[in-house]
Amino acid sequence: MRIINREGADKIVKKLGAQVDTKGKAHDIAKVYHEGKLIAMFGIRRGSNKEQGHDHIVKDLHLNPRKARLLAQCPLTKEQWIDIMSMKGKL
Amino acid sequence: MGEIRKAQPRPAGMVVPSQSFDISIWQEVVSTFAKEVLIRGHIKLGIESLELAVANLKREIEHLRSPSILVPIQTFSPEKIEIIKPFSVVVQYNDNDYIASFFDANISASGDTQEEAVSNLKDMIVSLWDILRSEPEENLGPTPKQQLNALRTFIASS
Repeated sequence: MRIINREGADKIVKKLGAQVDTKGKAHDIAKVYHEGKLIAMFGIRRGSNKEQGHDHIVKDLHLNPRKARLLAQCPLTKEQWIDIMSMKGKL
Repeated sequence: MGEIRKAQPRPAGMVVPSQSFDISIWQEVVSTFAKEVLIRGHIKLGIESLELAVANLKREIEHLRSPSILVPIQTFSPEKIEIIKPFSVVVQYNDNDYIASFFDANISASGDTQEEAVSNLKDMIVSLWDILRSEPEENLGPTPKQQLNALRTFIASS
């Protein structure tokens, strides 16, 4: 079952306060900073289809499918994601 | 002769029940209706759950029919990037589309077809290569640093 579509990816960009780099050919690159350091990046596929698959973001954000879905919806906050990243030694 | 009382005006909207009105009948009607709605709602929910389960099973079957494949990356042309150490990426079926992954650098991309997923992954590798090299190294967290080091092992700008 699809975990994240284009709409979910856009919500994650907003929730994590990611900076978006538009120089790529097929993707915009979302860059997530924490305390001035770049900690994660993921690609947003270009196009207007909101159902476009973005499940690759699950790996890019070091999450399991369930938590990635929660991040795209409301339950998982940015702070909780930062805690997960910290526990995994990614900060 | 009895007193003649002047009729009191009724407030607007006031419903005067007839003398034969039996509220218990109406309560039974409403209760039966509510039960009917609940039963139909449950049946509808049950059918929807079954449809979802069948759709998921179909996807799983499709997944089993489409195993992961290893795709060697041989060029980034027309980008000015040369491959200094050969590498392959893994392409996996994922719910009506595909995910291509370069595990060594933790870079992934999605596509509607296997070819598109690989093409998108190459685009991601090129973009991340540019971004990671343009960012001051002291600003890179652990994952981006690892990604940059991994990419330096496999590719170089030509």
